[in-house]
Amino acid sequence: MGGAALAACRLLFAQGPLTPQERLAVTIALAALAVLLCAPAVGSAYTISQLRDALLLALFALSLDYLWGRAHTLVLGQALFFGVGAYAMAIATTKLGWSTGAGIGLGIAVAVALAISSGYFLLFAGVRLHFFAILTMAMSLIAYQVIVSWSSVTGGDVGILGIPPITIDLFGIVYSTADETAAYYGALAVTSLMLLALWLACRGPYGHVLDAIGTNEMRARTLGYNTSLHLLIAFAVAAAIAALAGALYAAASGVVAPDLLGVLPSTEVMVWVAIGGRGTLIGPLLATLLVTQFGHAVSSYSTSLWPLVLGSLFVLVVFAIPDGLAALVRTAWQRLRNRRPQEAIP
Amino acid sequence: MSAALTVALNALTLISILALVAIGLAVIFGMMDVINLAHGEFVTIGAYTLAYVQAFGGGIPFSGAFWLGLLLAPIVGAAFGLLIEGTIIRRLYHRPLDTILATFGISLILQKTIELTFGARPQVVYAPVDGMVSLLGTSYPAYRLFVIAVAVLLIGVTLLVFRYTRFGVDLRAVIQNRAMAEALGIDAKRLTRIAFALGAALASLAGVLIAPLASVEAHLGTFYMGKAFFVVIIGGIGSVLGSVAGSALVGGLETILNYQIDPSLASAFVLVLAVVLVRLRPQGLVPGYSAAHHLLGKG
Repeated sequence: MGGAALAACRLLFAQGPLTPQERLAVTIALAALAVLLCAPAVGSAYTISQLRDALLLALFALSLDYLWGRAHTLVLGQALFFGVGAYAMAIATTKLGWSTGAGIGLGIAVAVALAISSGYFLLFAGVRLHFFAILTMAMSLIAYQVIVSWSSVTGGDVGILGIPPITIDLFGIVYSTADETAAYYGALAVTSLMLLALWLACRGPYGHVLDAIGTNEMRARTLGYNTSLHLLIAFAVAAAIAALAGALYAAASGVVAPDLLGVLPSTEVMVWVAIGGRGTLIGPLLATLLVTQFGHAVSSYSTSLWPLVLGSLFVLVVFAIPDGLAALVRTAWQRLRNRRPQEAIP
Repeated sequence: MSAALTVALNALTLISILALVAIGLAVIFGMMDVINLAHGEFVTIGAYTLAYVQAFGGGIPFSGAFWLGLLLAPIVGAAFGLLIEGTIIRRLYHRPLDTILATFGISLILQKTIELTFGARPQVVYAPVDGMVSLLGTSYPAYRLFVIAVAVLLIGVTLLVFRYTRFGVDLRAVIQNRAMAEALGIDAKRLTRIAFALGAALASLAGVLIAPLASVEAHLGTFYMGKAFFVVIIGGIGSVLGSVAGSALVGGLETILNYQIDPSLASAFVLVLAVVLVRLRPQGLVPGYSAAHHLLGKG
C-alpha cells in the first residue's frame, strides 16, 4: 500500500528542471498573475465581477484542456459537469439547507459518479475519439432536457435564484465571497492553484504516460499501462474540476439557469481551449479571459450575433491556428531568440 | 387493439424519419471516418425550404406548393452538402477531430444565420392532405400515413441501390477498405462527394416531411441529429440496414416510453440503453465493415 502510494507520488510529482519552453510559459503565467493581482486596484466593480466570472470559467477550461490537450480525449459536452456542479450547489443550499461547502462536495460527487458510470461503459468498451466526443454531447443534451422538465427540483426554464455566497469562518477570521474583492481573489487563488497542480502533475512522468496513451494507445497498453483506467481517471478528475468551477460560479453569481449546461457553453469552452493551445494549460486559461471579454463586447452590441461569431471563430481556429495562440507565441519567441546572437555579431 | 395500432403507427413515423436522417450520417461516417455535426442542419434547411416555398406561393393550405417544396428541398440540401464537403470536410481529411470542431462551427453559423434571416418565431407550414383515415377500426391522420409511405419508399430504394447497383457496390467497397477500393480504380473522392450530397438530400427530405408535424425553428435539426447519432452508434457505422435497425430500436422504444413516462426521462433511458449496447456490441447491430470500427477496437 505504501509502495503504491510512493509510486503514485513519483508518477505525479517527480519534477525535472525547466525546459526553455516551460520557462517561457512560467514567465507568461507570472506576468499574468501580477496583472490579475493588481486588477482590483484599477478596475471598476463591474469589471472585477466580470473578471471573477472569467477566472471561474478559466478553471472550467482547465478541466477540458487537461482531458483534451493532455489525455487526448475530446469531450463535446463538458458543460454537463459544470452544470451539474452549479445545480448541485444551488439545490443543496436553497432546497436542502446545506452549507456551501457541502454543496461543492455534492456537485463534485455527482459529477464524478456520472463520469465514472458512463466512462466505465464507454472507455472500457474501447469507445474513443469522435464516438466518445459525440456520446458526451448526447449526454449533455439530455441532461439539459431533464433539467428543463424536472421543474419541481431544478426550477425549470427559470432556474434557481438566491444561492448564498461562500463563507468560511476559520478561528475568527471570516472570509466571505459576499465582498466583491474577496470573491475575486478567491477565484484567482483557486484557479491559479489548480493550474499549478495540473501543470506539476502533467510535466512529470504522469504527463508522459498520458502523452503515450494519446499518441499510440496500443503501444502504451503493450508497455503495461492500463490505458482505459488511466483515461477513466482523467475523465473523472476533469469532471470534478468542472463541477468545482460550476459550484463556485453558481455561488459567485447567485443564480443558475439551464443555459449553463446547454450546447453553447460546451462550445465556448472548446473554443477557449483551441484558441489558447491544447495541452498548454496556461494558454486556455488566458484565452478564456480574453475571449470572454471579447464576447461581452460583441454581446453588448447584439446578443444574437455572439453565437455566429463563435461559430466563425471555431472554423477559423481549425484552419488558421490548429495549435492555438500558444504555438504562435512559441515560434515568435524562438525566432526572436535565434536572431539575438546574430545581432550581437557586427 | 386500436390504441396499439396508433402507438405502432406513431412509432413508425418517428422511425422512418430517423432512418432518413441517419442513413447519410452512417454512410459518410463509414466512408471517411468523419462525423458531420452539421448534418442536423440539412433537416432544418429542408423544413425552411418548404416554409419559404409555401409562403412564396401565398401561404394557401393544401395547394401545390408542398409538392414543389418536396421537390426543391433535396436539391437545396444537396447543394449545401456539396458546399460544406468542398470547402470544409475535404480540406480536413485525415484530421477527424478537427472535422468535428469545424462542422460544429458550421452548424452554429447555419443555425444563427437561419434565425437572423427568418426570425426566431416558428415558421408556418401546411400539410398537403388533411383529415383522418379509418384503418382497421381506428382513425389515423392521413398526413402521417403519407409520411410513413414516402419514407419507407425512399429507404427501400436506398437499400436496393446500396445492395444491387454498381454505385452501391462501389460505396460498400470504399467503406470496407478505402485504399484497396482506390487501387481497383474506384474514384473514392468523387464517390464521397456524391454520397455526401445524397445523404444531405435525404436529410432535407426528412425535414420537409417532418415540418408540418413539428415546430419549424432554427433548432429543429439538433433534436433529430442527437437521436440520429444514437441510431448510427447502435445500428452500425457505414451500414444502411444498421441505420434502419437502429432507428427501429431508438424510435420504437422512445415512442412507447413516451406514453409511460416523461419525454425527457424517456430520452435519458434511451441514452443509457445506447451506452450499455455500445459496451456489449461495439460493432453495432448490423456491422458495416467500416474502417472506423478500428477506432472501437482500440481499447
